[in-house]
Amino acid sequence: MSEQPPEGVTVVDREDGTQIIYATATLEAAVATGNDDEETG
Amino acid sequence: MAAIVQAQANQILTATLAIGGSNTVGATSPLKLKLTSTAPSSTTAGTELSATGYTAGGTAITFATASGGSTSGPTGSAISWTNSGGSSWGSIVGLEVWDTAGTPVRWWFGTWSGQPIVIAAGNTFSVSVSAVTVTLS
Repeated sequence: MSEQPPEGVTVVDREDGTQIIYATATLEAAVATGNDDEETG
Repeated sequence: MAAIVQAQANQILTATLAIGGSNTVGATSPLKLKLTSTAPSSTTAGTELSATGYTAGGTAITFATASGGSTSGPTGSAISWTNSGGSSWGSIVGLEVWDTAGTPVRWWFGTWSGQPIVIAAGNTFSVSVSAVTVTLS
């Protein structure tokens, strides 16, 4: 198969003609979404 | 981007701010990694993959010591499922990390890079060591 796998996915061909599809994921949670900059007068 | 289940985010707030005097929070190990065929959200679990060769209920996963607000798993060895049926699995879209409390609790969720991922008959879906990164920032 000459199709390029999507980003983050790696495809490895095995000798028996099957494939291993390696997947990745990033789970990112934001703790602080407010104003991080301290403004002092 | 949300990645932690809303109810569990509330638990973290409760613990770290000692709301109501409470400071206990945590998942019951072992944790399980589940594959989903739909995208999970902070309030709604995805539809767990139902396919020949996939382990319903997920497979145990452990995470490395957190550093810099981040960790990754699995540790030790990859997690793999092989499509042992005669037809394609269809789409793998998301992942969820559940604990194994008496009533299991869903803690984290996300989608796979490059999803949806289709696994043809005979092929293996594999999550290499440290392929899942979890970050609080």
